[in-house]
Amino acid sequence: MPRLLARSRRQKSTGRETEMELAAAQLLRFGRGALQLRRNFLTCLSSWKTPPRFLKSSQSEALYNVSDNGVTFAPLQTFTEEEMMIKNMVKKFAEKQVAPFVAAMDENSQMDKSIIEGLFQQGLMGIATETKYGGTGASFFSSILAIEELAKVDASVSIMCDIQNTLINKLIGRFGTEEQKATYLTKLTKDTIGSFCLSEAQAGSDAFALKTKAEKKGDYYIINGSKMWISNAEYAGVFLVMANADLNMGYRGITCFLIDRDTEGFQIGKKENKLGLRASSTNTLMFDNVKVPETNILGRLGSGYKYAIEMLNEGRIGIAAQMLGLAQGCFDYTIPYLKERIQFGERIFSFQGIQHQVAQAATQLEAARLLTYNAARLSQTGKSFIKEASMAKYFASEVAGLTTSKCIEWMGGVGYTKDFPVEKYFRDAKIGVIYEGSSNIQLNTIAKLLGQEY
Amino acid sequence: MAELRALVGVKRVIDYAVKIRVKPDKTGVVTDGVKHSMNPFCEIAVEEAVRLKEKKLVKEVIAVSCGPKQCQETLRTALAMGADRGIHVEVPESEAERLGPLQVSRVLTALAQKEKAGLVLLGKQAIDDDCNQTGQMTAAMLDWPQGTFASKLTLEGDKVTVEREIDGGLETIRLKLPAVVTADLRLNEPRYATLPNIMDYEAARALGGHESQPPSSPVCGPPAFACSSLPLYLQLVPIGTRTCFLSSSNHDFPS
Repeated sequence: MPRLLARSRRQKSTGRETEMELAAAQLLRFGRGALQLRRNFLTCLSSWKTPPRFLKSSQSEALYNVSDNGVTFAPLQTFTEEEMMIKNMVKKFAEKQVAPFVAAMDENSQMDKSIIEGLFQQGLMGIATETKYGGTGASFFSSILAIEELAKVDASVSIMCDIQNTLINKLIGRFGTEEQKATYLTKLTKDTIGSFCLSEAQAGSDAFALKTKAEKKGDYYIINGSKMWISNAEYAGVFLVMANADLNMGYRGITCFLIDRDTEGFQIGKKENKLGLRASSTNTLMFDNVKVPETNILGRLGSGYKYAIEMLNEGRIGIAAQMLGLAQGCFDYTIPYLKERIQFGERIFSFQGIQHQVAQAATQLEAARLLTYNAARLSQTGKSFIKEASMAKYFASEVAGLTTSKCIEWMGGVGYTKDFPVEKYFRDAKIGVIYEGSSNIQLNTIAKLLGQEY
Repeated sequence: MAELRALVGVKRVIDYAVKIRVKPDKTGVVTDGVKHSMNPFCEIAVEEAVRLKEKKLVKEVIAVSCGPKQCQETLRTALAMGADRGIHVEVPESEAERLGPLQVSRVLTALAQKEKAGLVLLGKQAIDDDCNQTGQMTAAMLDWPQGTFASKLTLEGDKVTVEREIDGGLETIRLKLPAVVTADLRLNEPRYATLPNIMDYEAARALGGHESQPPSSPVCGPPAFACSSLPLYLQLVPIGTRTCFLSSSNHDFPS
């Protein structure tokens, strides 16, 4: 149809064009050419600004950058080119390389090696790390987008990427000495997975009540104790262990130590048999007189608690992104099914009851998305973001639980079987409200910060 | 072989996963605000060109895209996949709908001659119009041999052996360079742009300066049938350490 119309239009204009008109058109084009130059010069320079993602009109991008003293009024879901390209790349990677293994990994509670290698090869294990250490040098927001896209396919792969980027690499990048960075960051961006060891059997939400001791003996520290609920431990090569160097000082003695996997006295215990996130390993760790050189202290002695809090604040946004992606992936899978399934002679999507529930879930999802993206952007611009990050994590994890639960209901009987992925999303979502600061802790944090405001 | 330049055509089409909706006035499909991406067959063509470059059989891979400003996104993907240069032949949004295989093949003909390309790689067809004409028309206009529906491509000396997927099965032909080859599905599995490549490209773009070039000679193609003039602007998009330069030239398709 369009091609027939096109031909008729073309034939019409051939008859009408005269010499004058052609000449006028030439002049116009030349003028437009100059404008073109100016336009592109501007957009080239302002590549740091966030251009619009969709061009609704045929007008130039320059017009879209409505700004006021350098602040761009763009919707939160506006990404820079780099972020768009990274998002697209991770999406393709997740759909092609991760998706085929998801069911098997969940069944066997084992992460496939090809996926871990793939993550490193694509540069996804060092997204925000500087290029001189082998990282990609992209922004924090890019890592959020990557975590979200991975979670749409498998939350376990997403958490591996999240811990590496938002906890491990950030900690070492921010507080490590040049030497530590050169040693560990280069490994972490190339082929080594890192593990963050804070929780213990008796210290979960009350993390600073940890009992793992670090005694100073000359140039070394001897670490004794045990850790529990440590993610990635099965595959990790570097462990960031929070141990207390001076129990008398309470939490002000907590120090962060960098421990390699094959250190003597360091044992990795059994993997937990979990409800969800099964492909991500969660183990206990045992420290039996583990000798750690003083040079392996990350940052300052006794400042471990501060680092942990700082990192967890940003890690929260990563978890929010993971839960968001999880919920979105589940939702994206369910809606086409609703449009296909016929009952009472109609697609069940046409029933108002279902439509209302779907609309509610979609609204919550959008709200969670905006909270997460806003928290990420705030963190990027260096503004205060702790309250927003807590809100994002709390809301996104709760929404993920609600959405996945509803998705199983909407799918009916098939949603309840393991043949369909929705039940996996449902199981994976539950951990969201528990780890990296349980919902109650998030609410405490939000209330505390609110209390300071009023 | 080390002197061979590959010209790869890439088309910006509506993403394959998007649900297509017809416009209310029934004049076409909704394209506003809809996710677009590179035509999958064009991706395969770019991948093949990049692989040839990695095997050192091709010196330079030049990606070309005709269309409105948004085509630059497609070119960027091609560059991030490993192409060396990108040429955006800009067509104003209002006229972009009328851009068909005939016009594109004229552009490619002119560019192939201008850039002295020895191999033109295209996707066999675009997923939006399924025309399956551009490759064949380009070859005819250039008067070069063509190997369409290629499922295997081997460069040997100044000849290229193409295994084609035809109705009866597989046909192997040998073409003398320069030639036009269109990629079919099973030619290769396209790579994703790796994060480092994306960053390299972004860094180069941020550093790129500007030099203008004098306008080049107008495009003339054999007039197959009457069509109105379409103003074109040639822009060269940089990668690596090469600086970027704009050449603004007015080309008319003969009416």
